[in-house]
Amino acid sequence: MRSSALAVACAAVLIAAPGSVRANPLDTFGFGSRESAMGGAVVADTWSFAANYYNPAGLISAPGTQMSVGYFHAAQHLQVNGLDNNVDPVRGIVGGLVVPGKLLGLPLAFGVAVHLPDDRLSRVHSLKDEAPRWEMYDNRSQLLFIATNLAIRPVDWLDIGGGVAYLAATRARMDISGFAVIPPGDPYDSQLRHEVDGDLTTVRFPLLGVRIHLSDRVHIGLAYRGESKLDLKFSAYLHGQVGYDLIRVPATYSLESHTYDVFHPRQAVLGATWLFHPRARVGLDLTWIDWSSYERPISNSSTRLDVDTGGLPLVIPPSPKPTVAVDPGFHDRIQPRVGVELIAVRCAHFALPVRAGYVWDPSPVPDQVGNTNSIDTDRHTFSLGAGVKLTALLEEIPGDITVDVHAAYSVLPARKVYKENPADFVGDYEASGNMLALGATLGLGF
Amino acid sequence: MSPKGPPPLAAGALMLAVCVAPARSAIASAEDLFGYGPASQAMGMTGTAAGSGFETVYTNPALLCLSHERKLSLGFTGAHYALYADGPLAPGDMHIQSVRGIVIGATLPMGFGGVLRDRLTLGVGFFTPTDVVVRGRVLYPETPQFGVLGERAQSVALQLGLGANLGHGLRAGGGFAALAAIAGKVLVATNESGQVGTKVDDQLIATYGPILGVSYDLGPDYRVGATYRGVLDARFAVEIVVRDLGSLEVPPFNIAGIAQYDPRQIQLEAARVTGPWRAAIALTWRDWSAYPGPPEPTVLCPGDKPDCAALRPPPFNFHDTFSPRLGVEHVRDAASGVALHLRGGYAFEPSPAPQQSRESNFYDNSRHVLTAGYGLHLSDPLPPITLDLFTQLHLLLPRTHTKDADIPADHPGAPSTKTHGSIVVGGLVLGVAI
Repeated sequence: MRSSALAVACAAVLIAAPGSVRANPLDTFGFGSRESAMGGAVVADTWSFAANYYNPAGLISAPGTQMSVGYFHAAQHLQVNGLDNNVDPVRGIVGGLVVPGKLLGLPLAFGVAVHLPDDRLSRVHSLKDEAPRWEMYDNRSQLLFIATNLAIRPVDWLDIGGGVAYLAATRARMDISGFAVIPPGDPYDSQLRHEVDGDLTTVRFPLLGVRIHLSDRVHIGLAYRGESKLDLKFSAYLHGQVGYDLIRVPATYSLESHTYDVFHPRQAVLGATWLFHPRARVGLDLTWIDWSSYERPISNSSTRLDVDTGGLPLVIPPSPKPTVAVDPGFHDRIQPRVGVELIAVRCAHFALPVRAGYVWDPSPVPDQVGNTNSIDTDRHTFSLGAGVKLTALLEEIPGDITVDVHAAYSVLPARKVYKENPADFVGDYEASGNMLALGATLGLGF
Repeated sequence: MSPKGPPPLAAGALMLAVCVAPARSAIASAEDLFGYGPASQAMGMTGTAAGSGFETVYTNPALLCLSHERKLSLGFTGAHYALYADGPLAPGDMHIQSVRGIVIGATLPMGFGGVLRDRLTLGVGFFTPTDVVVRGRVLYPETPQFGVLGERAQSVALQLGLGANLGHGLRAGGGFAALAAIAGKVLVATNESGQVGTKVDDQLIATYGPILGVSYDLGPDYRVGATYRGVLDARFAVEIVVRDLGSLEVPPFNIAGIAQYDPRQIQLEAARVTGPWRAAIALTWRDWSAYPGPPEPTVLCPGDKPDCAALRPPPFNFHDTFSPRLGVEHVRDAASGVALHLRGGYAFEPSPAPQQSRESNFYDNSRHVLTAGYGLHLSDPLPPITLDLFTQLHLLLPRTHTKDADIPADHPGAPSTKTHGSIVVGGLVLGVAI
């Protein structure tokens, strides 16, 4: 900083804004058209790229190398007191790769999967504590998901898989210096400059899975997904001088802010699949979700401003009170899922599976009777889907070509919130809504 | 030259010393500085015509179609800096932090039949520093810094490519490299109850740079290749808005800059690709003259006053560079299913930065790059495993930056500063065909 130019120094801004990759859009809307159509009840019955999310152990069952790419769009019509809250839709590309093989005689498979949102890789968006927001479905769904996994089959009846999902966190120190012009001068004539020292760091959480083949028709699956959250720290210190023309006075300004955002809870899934007919199967999963560890995306903030006015006609506000986030008091939940698949048509080079599923997603959010307004309701999701599988259709494409489509409709029944304080700034309200997710996935097998 | 290559213990110790060096700070895009892939990095960063395996996703995607096996590769690489700026008002040792990272690569032949059999191969190349995705340092111009070598971003390299054999010795390929950029807004204000609140909207955005390549076989022994890489940059942009400061009205702060930048470039190469002795010679053009420099204005002029007096960063005035490269490889079949590869190379990397005679101290030096490497490739009847090691020594040509007469005597870097130093790079990659 050069003394000739120094009037304001705004220093030590530290942002740690994990901006990244979490599984929330997959938790909410599923991953892959086949698996989404079956309500996600596939922990014991997945072998495509979607196994990277549902159960990495399933990768080992891929019949050959598979490449998949697809697209999905989920419209969210979430309302409070009958008025749509314009929660952003979630849309993006999904895809992945499964490469099975053998190493020293041991069956082994490698998988990569990605959910790539259209507009951005991720979004961290924190609000004030009392601001109403759809806690589960707002920016929590604006996330990139990337996972890599390995699976092995040490014995014929056991598959084991595991890997890592990646997030990216932001950490940056910023420094601003120069001459800050204040009214009656023009602030845009300020002679300011800055420097940045920032990192986009990696955040990883584990994915683990096991699959046990009790028989040719009955399989049991167990999967674990670790916790992740985006930690947003922001602190600033401003010191120096402000003024206009030749008038300059010393000033200091400090800011502290700390936020957790887009929390992804720890999950454990236990499920089974029963092939009750050569052309039909049913799956049932139970997912435990550690919502009691949830931390709300609220900024705990404090600031302090000191200016030696030196006779200048400046109006300086008192230092505001710091904010402290309230414990959200979420509860753990067990989420049941059920899915069925029926091969409606099958011949030498062609198969047509149809699928259906259901998920009950009980809300972990307690009644919002106080100052907080984390809006949420239970969610019932009904899904349908179908696929086309073409085998050895052309000489150039000796493997399988699959096209799967799905649709999922979620109903969020009305939930009424009654405030304890009749003078509450927000007041009583009723929340409800629905969602419609559509998707398609193209697969190519070798 | 011994057909068995350098003593494995010494090479391993060198790699280990480099790889475990503590990582504390920022460097430039690793693949642009040091190349990508153990064979290319051992052969003077060639590979546009001589390359093979997953590393061609960067060196020349057209050559991916030479890979006919599904292969996964995993490795570790590191770089240690010893860069200096000596002078009356210079810091001496720049304490550039070392970098270490993981290399992951894969080749996946597309199992088509008929006329497409063995013609298409997909490749993935990934380098990630062990603790960051992108590191961006946008420092004040007068702060002494090695902007190209040490102060650009330490950065992940994610590359995806597809190579096609078009027949008659002609191949073509394409792909992209991806980076993450950051855009956001921070609003500081006071709420109705007198509590301060911050609203933060931070978004991670992907940026892409294309990679295109062609190669042509000149008979069974020789090949020529060309690769084009588009600009790959990552911008850091956060707007900070502070309200409720009484009569202290301040403009929005545009905290923005280019955190990482790889210029547009073209590499041409000719190589002998068969026989026990193989070699490649290449020339790389980099469009550094298009580099805007890292910083952006802190205060952006409003639309109704586009000529406000807000400060603007000084121009950087980089110029284009041409980098000659040379690589040699000796291949020896030591036993049934055992091939040994001994590699060496040289490259000259001219500096795109002008002498720092004004206020800025954005240092850069031209470099001699000496490279070496060793590969052990097993095949049937042995397990299909490969192990490749490489090392590089970057020697900076000493350079003196003399300030103009009107620069204050107490300005950093005045009256003159001599910059010099070296960089040691090393790594190893294990590959398995499955």
